[in-house]
Amino acid sequence: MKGARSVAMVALGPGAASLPAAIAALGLSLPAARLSPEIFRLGKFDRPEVSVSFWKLLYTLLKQIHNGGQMESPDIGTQVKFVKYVVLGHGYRRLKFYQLPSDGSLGSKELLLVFSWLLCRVSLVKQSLALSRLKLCDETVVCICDTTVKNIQIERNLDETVHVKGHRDIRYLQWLNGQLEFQWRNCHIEQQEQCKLLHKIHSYTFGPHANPTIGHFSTTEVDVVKKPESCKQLLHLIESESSRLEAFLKWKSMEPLYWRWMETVLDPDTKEAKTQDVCNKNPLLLSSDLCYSDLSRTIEELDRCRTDLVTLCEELHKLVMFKKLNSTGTVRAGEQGQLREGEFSRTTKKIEAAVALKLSDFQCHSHAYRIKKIHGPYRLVFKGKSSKAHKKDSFKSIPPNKAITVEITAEDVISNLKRQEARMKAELKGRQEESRKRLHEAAKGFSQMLVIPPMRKQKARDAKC
Amino acid sequence: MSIITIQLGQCGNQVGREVFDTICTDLHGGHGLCSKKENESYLAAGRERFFSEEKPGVLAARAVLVDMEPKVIGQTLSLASKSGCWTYDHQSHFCQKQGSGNNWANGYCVHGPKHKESIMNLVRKEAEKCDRLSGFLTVMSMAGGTGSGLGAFVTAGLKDAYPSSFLLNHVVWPYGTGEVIVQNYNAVLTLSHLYQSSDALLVHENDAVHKICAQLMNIKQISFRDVNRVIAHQLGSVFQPASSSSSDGATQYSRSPLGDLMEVLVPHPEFKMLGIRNIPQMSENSLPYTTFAWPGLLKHLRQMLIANAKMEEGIDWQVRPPVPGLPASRKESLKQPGRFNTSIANLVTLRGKDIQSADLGGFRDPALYTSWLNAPEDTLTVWKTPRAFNKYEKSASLVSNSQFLLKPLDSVVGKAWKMFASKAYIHQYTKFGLDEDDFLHCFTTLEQVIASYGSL
Repeated sequence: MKGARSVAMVALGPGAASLPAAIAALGLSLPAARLSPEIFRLGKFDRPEVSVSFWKLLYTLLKQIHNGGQMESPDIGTQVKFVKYVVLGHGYRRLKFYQLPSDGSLGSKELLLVFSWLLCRVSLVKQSLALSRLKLCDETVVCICDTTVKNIQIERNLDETVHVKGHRDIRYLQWLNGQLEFQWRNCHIEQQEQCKLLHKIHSYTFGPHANPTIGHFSTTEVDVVKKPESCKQLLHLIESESSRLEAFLKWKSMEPLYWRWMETVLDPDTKEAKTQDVCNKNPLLLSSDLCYSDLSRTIEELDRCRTDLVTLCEELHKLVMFKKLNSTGTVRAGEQGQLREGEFSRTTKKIEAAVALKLSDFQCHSHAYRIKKIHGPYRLVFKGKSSKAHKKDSFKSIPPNKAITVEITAEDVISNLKRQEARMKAELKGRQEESRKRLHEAAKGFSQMLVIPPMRKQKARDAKC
Repeated sequence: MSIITIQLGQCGNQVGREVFDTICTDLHGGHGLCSKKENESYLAAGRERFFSEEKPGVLAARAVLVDMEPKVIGQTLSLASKSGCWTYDHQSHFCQKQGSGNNWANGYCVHGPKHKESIMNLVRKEAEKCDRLSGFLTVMSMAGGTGSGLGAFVTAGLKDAYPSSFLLNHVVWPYGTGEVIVQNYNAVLTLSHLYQSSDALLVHENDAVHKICAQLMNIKQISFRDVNRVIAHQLGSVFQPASSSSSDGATQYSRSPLGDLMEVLVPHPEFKMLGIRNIPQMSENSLPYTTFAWPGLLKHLRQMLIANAKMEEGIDWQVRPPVPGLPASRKESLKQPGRFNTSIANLVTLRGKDIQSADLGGFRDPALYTSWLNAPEDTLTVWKTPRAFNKYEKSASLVSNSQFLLKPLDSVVGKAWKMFASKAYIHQYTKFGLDEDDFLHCFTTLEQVIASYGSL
């Protein structure tokens, strides 16, 4: 944390006096959380009376980020459990924090540390602002980041680390799996419904929009047109959002102060920090961030692939040279040499296949890197009538921080997704084949068991008829 | 959300029409003993679910009618038009001149592939009319030719064309005494094929419904229409809007009914058989003179479930859930074969007055359920609405995934196997392209189902 905080050396003129102002600004930029600078001060001295407020604060913020509605407010025990669980998921590894009692009565200093850690590592404020952002136009989130490779890694980790014997009935797992599938389908149906309705709104309101490149109303706009009284409410919401954004700007300018102060909180702890850091054993948990594959990771991935490729090529080259030498030597040796020749070609083929696979991975990655530009929320714009017979939805980005607009058509996104689907299907097939082989191996142990293949699919029968 | 009903064959068309009739009567049946606002959101959701309203005031059923003979479809269409409150879309049916002659293979191997495109086109048109499509309810008999053979084929087609929609097959189980000599063959073929492509099978046994007509409804000469009406009433009592939580009725009403039902009842691919029971059920004449109380109704319903009784009369009150903690062998001897009906999951729907006071404690008992699920969180779901259904001040219905069908299924498979072993009537099937291997596969599938349910 220290390295990042070296920025804090700038402009510390007013000193600790303006710290309360900074914390107040931070509080204003967070929704539904009233931060009083006083609890921070008491937290520094690990006073037990503010620990409950800290737990509550963390609970509200994390619950919001993890898309839970704020309808119910469970007892403190549940809140503590939830916070610990989520924070662990984010990769926080300080044992002391997890040892805090579940009644929330202790540990305000630890909680202050967690809060600051989240602030810096998870960019809590930004996320919460993004989540509660008013959506004046119809949006969709496009993300064509490549996740397959990452998943494989996670799974491998699972293979290696999880040795827990399942004492649940296999039927229970099948039941849960089925339930998940139905939920997916429900989700899909709801998405379809939303698409249908949006399309209706967009095509019915074509024409009167002030912006000719958009040309139709969004759902919010239609709502305002239909019910003018909701205009006031909308205005109020916009105002409160802009005040939050203003507070955020203010906080940003004062942030270094806060971190300077945090250093004073941390200082007595730094010595023991190293000995405390024992929780950091399970790499699986570290990688379980929320599919947020950012640019740097892709680049890293890319670099890794490139070096992999280069080493593989070199290996291949060496191997080919070696084998060539070897085989020219052995060809004269007669029959045995021919056998080796076969082996040699097999090996070469194997390596070639491996290289091809790596290469395809590499290509995928470079592709993912290019497509990276379309990650995030996009405004949905219907272009049906302007492009005559050719009906298509097209996405147009809302320029959040840059002035350039990037247009993506639905077709592009779909074809991208299809490519990804094809890749995943191929992978699935490979894995199924692998599992089948393993199953066969295992089945050899049970010679007296009769295995009946599943009923033939209808298509097979059609072909036969 | 909307459900598209696909009526197949004579039985399917007749039952389907009764279902729409029942639902429409319920929707026009006055205030339903609840608040005006509640009633309005109930009506809106019910209408959207089963009907489209292209012209104001005219409800057109979201249905596709399929039969190989024109007679029944003609009757169905005209009866619906005569009802005065709803109608079928007259473009939305498909029929031919010649029936399937109770031959499953004829329906599945000949009529199915031949007419697939026209039927799927009709389905697609119906689907396009829905803003929010929850899924399909196919209605058919299990023993005939068109309904069951073509029905199984169409179901597989639906699964292919709408992979994310929910697919519920309602099948009518034939009378044990039998109308058709090869009904056991047809039943085995239908069930095993549906088991591959459908998400859930909701079964009505003709024998059971017949008994209800005789003993509860006091009908002297029971016609198919009477039987179908009872079936329709039971289906309506499940599929009319009801909400799974008390938070906000209006938004809950509009959820996906098929999706919600399947998620809680049939997630496991080996257990797809659903049975339905309801209480009270009586003739319309005696309805005004009877009052009900929730504790009594639910006590009966629970005993109907565990003793596997199809109606509230003649329940065996001796059947008790097995005592937990007993060793398995002792448990078996206590159980006496086939007496206690173990459930996987249950869905109870309560409609009418004072539903808040209804106590479902009896259904939460883990002893009722198979041990590999967490009872009652995984196993019991409750839907409620203060809106009364079809003139019943209070009514409860239970959709249950349990062992209830184990015995009839075993007997059907047994009878069919006997015939198959002596190769009786097989040629009637092979001549349409179904070979003995196909039969064997179907037997295997159902044996597996029987084994799975048997070992709960």
